[in-house]
Amino acid sequence: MKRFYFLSFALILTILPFQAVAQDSVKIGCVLPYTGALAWQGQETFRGVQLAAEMQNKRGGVHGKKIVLVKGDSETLKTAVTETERLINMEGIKIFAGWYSSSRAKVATTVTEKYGAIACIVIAVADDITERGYKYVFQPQGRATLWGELSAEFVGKEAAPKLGKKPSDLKVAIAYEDSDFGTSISVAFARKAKEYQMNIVAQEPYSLSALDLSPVVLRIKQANPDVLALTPYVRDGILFLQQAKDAGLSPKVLICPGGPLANDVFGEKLGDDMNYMLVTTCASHDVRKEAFQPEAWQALQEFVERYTKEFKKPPTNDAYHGFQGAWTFFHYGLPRAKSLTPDDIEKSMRSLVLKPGENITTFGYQAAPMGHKNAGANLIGHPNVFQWQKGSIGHLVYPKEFAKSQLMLPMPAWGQRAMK
Amino acid sequence: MRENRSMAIRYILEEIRHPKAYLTLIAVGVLYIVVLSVKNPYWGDILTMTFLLGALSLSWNILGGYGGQFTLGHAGFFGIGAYTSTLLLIHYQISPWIGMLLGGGLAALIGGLIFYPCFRLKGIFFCLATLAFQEVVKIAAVHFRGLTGGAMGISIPFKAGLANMMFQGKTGYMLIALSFMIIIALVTLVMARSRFGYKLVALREDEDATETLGISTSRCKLLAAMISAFFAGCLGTFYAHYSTLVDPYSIFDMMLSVEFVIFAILGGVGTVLGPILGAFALVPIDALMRGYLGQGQQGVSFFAYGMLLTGVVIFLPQGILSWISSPLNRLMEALSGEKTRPEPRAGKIEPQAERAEKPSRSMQPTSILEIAGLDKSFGGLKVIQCLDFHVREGEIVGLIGPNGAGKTTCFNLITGFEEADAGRILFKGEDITGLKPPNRISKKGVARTFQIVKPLAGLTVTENILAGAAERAGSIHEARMKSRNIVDLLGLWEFRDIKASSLTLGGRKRLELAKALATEPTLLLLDEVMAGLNPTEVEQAIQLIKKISNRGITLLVIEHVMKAVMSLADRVVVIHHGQKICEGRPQDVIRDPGVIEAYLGKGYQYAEG
Amino acid sequence: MIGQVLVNGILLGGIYALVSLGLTLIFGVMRIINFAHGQFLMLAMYATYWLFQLYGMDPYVSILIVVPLMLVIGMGAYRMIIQPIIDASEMTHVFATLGLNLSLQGIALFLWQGDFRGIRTSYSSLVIHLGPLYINIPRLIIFLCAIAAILALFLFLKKTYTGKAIRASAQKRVAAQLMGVNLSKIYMIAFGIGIAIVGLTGAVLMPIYEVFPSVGSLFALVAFVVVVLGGLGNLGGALVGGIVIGVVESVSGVFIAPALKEGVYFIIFVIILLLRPTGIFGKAVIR
Repeated sequence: MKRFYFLSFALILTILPFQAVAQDSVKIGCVLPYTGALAWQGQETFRGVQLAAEMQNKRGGVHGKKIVLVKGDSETLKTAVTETERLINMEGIKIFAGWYSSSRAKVATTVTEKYGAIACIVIAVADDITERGYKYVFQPQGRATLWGELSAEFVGKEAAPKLGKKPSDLKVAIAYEDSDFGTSISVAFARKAKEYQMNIVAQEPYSLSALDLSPVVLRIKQANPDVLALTPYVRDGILFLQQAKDAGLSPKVLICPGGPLANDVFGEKLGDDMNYMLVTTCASHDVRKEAFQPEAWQALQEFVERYTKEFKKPPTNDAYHGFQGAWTFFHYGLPRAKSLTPDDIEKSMRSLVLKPGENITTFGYQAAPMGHKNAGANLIGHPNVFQWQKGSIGHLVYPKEFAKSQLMLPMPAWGQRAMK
Repeated sequence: MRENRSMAIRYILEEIRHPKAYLTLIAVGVLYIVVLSVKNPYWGDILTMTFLLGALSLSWNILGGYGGQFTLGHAGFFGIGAYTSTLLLIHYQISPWIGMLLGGGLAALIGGLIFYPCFRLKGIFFCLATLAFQEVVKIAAVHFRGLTGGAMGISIPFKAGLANMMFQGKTGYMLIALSFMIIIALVTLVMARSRFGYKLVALREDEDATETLGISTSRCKLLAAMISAFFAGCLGTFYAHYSTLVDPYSIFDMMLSVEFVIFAILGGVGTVLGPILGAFALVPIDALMRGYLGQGQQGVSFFAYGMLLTGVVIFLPQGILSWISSPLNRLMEALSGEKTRPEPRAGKIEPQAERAEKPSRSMQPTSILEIAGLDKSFGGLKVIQCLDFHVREGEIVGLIGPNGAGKTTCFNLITGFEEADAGRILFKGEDITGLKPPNRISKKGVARTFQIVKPLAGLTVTENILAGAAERAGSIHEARMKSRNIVDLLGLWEFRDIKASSLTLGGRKRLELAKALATEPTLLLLDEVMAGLNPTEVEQAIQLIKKISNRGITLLVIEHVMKAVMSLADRVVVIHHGQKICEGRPQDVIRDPGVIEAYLGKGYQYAEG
Repeated sequence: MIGQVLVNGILLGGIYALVSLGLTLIFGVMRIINFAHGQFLMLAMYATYWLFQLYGMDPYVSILIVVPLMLVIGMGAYRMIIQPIIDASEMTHVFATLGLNLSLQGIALFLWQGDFRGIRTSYSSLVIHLGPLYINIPRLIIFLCAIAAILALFLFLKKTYTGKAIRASAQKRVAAQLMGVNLSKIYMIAFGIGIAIVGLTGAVLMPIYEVFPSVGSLFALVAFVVVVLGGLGNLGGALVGGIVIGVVESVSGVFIAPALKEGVYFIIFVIILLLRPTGIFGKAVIR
């Protein structure tokens, strides 16, 4: 028995992979949650980043050098910092993409800023990441505020007319998991909703590890809303929807201002019942070809093809995000820089301007200058709204210029949402 | 007084010359040098976390290892400290150094308030309560967003400077963390050698036995809990400034609480070095594994920790320290040229003035113990009925009766382990009926031994006796002196450094007696000390008891061994079915027909022989 | 609405009761608090998941495989981990099983990574209506399973030889041994049965919950609360305790705030510990 323990421990210690790095390459740190609770999302995001690197390498890399991604694991906040430090100090890396969750991004960028390393946050939405006046931090995709606000705007401008109501006639309920993710987005949503004079009839945060969400469901049902803005993570999202189905809670509009409801798992679990639900993400999914410049369109298509070929399924939301953020960085930001030093990259990212359609996103890119409240954030980075239709989330309905699909509302009751 | 002080100084100087002391000083010096020479921030981070977690584990160890109260909610105090100092800094610009003390203080306060009622709970229940405590704190921190920033936590803006407890490189952090660890280790060491320390480990071994030594176990646990929580709270402030973000899910993490415990268990609970060893062993390996295994590391860390914990608990329950303690000791011996620790030169042994005979009973002796109308039932069974008797000063009174007569229950009632239904117990004229907890009665001068002996198993004989002497002694040196006297009196000198669990039954009985005597009682209750002893040992015990009586201690003795009763007792009280059926001189009592009937002649044969 | 709140609470309580049953049985028989209880649940859930995924086996059908499987795993775990330390202190048990907890989570993380896996059945959302109230069928089934399991256990303990041997060992270890009972074998069987019940629980939970390596901890935490409330070792107490906690959670979730409902029952837990640590029903041993 003793031997068994020692042997297994010794065995563990012998698994040490090596990482050979070729000459003529530039190492870019990619710190994401590869393990832990966000492992799946972290992995998917990495796939997007990796494809962006591969695609750029095919196009000659950056400054003639091949991009080599060096992984760091941001499983917890503590490890996000440790790993970032390790990559900076042990691997000498000064260019970063990653972290995924807002709190991880926040603490890790404190580190990168200290060392003057360039940090491109491929996806992490909290506003306060860019509210610290850091010079070397860039957030090319939207911020939580924008996600939440745009969702509310969408409800007011697009959804309300479909219900034949004015925004001020709408009864809105907001439910969210109470970590930084759900809270920041929902707070922004509520704020914008109030601007549109919508009536917020319920605001229900809940713990994401709850085993039972029926109290939330019941309270919301009691309030009888027209619109439900739900920002869960995946597991609790599934639980909530199932219990909502049990209770017969079926608002006319259900929107997830934060993204997780775009996960395929929902389709697998709930099938047709997912139809009509709306999700806000930044992904360039189901977009009209005409709205893009040819080069950008080609890049987007190539990404989708490569992903589908390698992973035998269409790209996930997180993969899109990873790719988009990384592509903006690898294809536009880095090559334009005079050299690959953080200062030159900073200048490049700061001055880069892309109009919507020039980049592979539905929004363009314009970094907020130093001195701006959210320096480094993408001033015009707004998300899109997707709708589950015919069992798939890949239906962009907003912004209209990019949308191929039609918005379909109101949402019928449970069990009646099959679409031909 | 001056003699005490110069003795103390001499003692300390002796200690320092011992290899244990100067080796430790060298090790500490080396650590500081390492810290100052590490330039790579990656290693700096690993070292900082090692020191921090080691310090946290040490603080846990005070209540958990020494006090034996295993908590799984220690991270709760860590977080309370972090939030307190951070909020004070953000809202009132209070310096983190002061905020740290305030945070630690608040943690100690909350720890005391919440854990004190929980101390009633034994073992696993206490553990679960502490777990629940941490969960509640976490939920509160998430929910009360206005105060704590909710799940998003609170950020501390980075501003380098000692005043702000933030530094550009890692060196500053490492120094502080290391210093914290050393300080807490020192505090632990001093505590372990103090009277409080002996009381704490005594109650860890056996709470009931410790209560009879006049030690308030709940107060000791409370103090240990508060010290433990205080340090954890202070460390929380450090962590807040190290990570610049305080959020509930990271800081009130259950895994963190478990880690503190794992380090201590791995290294050796209840020791100063244990938690440090455990942290040094595990933290760097874990960080390195994560760094170099990368993707393949999923789960490996958990698995390794789990296997280690189970393995250590099963195969090496005293931790790594027990493994290396014998080679370490040999090293010490080689270095110092001495066999074992130098004997405490605690001053000359004052020979107790042995009185040739007992004080004459011509003066009206005062009644030390009076029992009147005592009643006690368990369920429907009346165990003690209307019991009356008394014990006079200086007497040896035998309490005899058939099995199940209620003798031990009587002792339990006197010493506060049970509560009487009716009746009164007077000790030196004072009503002590129903006085709780037992230590309050013991403090008044009543000591007892237990029928099934309760040695403080994990402690050495000397430490056992020290625990007994700790309460009354004015200083640790006085306590050591008194213990030395008792050790000599009871002939335990050759066993003084042996663990109580290794003693034979005869030895344990002697130890039981020694512990009781160390409390300098007025009245000593002996519960069947002769049981299980062979005739030689019985004779030795009888002589010992006579010696004790000659010192002026009153004795109430439950005994079945009639030879002892006959030769020791001045007076005998016979109990049957919880009532006194006879009282008088031993030779009269054994001839009483009622008594013979109660016993059916068993003791009769012994008495004749 | 109050009616629905109560119904939801009771059904939730059924889940809690079933999860806690094995834990309280094991404690009642051999005074071991199994800190790895949740991880066995996790294993059972994964087993059910893989049977569904690979062989298309319906979770209720997979009970036939998962329960015996967990029985064997439980007995094996007893032999390897618990038996060597059966006579050691309480705290040793706690930390040995805690170590097992971490190891099992580590293995699961390594094999199956951290993301959730769920199964989809046609009846996951099946609901029956009683007037204005709705009852989710899989949850009802879990509730009925809890009752069935308790009854089955009662019968087993009262009528069968092994069951009686278990009861005897629970009450008086030495006496039972003197009567010819092979104590370690009995303990092993009892432990195995406790884990087998966990197997049943895992299988019937899969239609409505996702599995991931740390799912066990979520359930185990509540299980401890329920077990203490109902009285360690008290089978009926597990049911009552489960229902009480379920109802408390549901009611406080709806009428106070959903984010605080877990906090409420933890506070109640501590209060119970302080006022009546032997639980609602007082000290109970497997009789």
